[in-house]
Amino acid sequence: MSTTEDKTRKVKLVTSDNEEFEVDWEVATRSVLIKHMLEDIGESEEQAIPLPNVTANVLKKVLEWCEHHRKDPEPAPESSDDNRKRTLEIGDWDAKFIQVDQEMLFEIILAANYLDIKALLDVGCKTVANMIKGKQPEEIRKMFNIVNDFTPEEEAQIKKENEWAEDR
Amino acid sequence: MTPINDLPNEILCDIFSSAIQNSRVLPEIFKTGNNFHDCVALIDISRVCHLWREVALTDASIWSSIYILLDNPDAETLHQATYFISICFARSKDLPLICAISISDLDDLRFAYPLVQTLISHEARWSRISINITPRPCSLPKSPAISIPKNDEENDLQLKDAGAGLLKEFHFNLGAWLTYSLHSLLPALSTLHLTCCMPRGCMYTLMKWLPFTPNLQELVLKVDNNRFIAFADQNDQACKATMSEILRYT
Repeated sequence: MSTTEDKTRKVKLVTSDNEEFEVDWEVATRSVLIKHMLEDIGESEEQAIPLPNVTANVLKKVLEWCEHHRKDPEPAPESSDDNRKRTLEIGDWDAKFIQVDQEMLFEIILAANYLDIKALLDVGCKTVANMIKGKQPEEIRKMFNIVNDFTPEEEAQIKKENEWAEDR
Repeated sequence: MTPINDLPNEILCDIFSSAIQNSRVLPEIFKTGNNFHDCVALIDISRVCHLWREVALTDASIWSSIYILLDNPDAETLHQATYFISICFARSKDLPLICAISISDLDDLRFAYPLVQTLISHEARWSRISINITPRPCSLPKSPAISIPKNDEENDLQLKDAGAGLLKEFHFNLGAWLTYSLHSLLPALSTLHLTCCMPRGCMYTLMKWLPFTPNLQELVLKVDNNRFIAFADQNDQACKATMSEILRYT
């Protein structure tokens, strides 16, 4: 639970390329990782939080997302219920935010995963899922520059498994 | 540049699940229809490269929901679909199964027996199941002759526990014969949709189900002539007995 003091508090973050960012506590703690680190170091405002897995240009983008979502409620714990609704819909702001090149998209996903920002990770994964959906394997390979590394024998086995769906 | 394959496997897996499960919102899938492209999407994903295939194969959950839509399939296509389903079941490990199988314009119900048999062989894991098999309309020309299995397959096509405590939802348009051997309570079953070719057929099938479904919340009976008639030889006496049985459970 955040206090009024927390909300006015500033947090220093240092990226892997040694750039320092000073942000509001409320923004920084969208990241569960940072939140836990802040809890560990207590009230020491001077101590910067090192983020060795995030570069400045990626953190800048992540913080932009955190700033926009600073007032969002805490995400509900994941449900194991198989009725859990999964949709690929992304909010308008998030959709615009995530319109970046592939390199930045994957960097944001990796950063969200490292910083433990589930909602941002979700936006990234859904974006990639939307890119994949409805595409043939060759189209997917081309889009992501993936090499088809199956042997002819494996190709034959895979084809056999999936013959019923050919041309459907 | 960070390629997609540098993402951790669990993230790739999450992406795959999202890509294939958009229309797998349950239980609405059985109510609102489905384009059944999920299985094809799953197949496409597992055909991209080694890594994607490995990642897809390690996640049992994406193989535990199976949607098959076949229109006027020949015996070979049904054989291939049965093979695919058996692979999916193996990859889904011991997870509860969600299956929607729709086969339309089928020339002979017996062509679908191996597929239904495969489903039944995993009945202990049934969670949400929909089986809809409809015949080819008589007015259409028959497809080329296909050898029909001669075995007495019906004996192998009878449910015993139908998921027992797991089964939550069941839709089917086959006759009551499928359930003659049912002998376990289905305490989790809340939704049952039955399609029969005549009202008394519905009643007869219901008589088989109601004693096993103490917690049923939604029951939908549909009379539709576009289904296979099997064992539809109940006489009026049996029908009257059925009605009285049903009244006991209402």
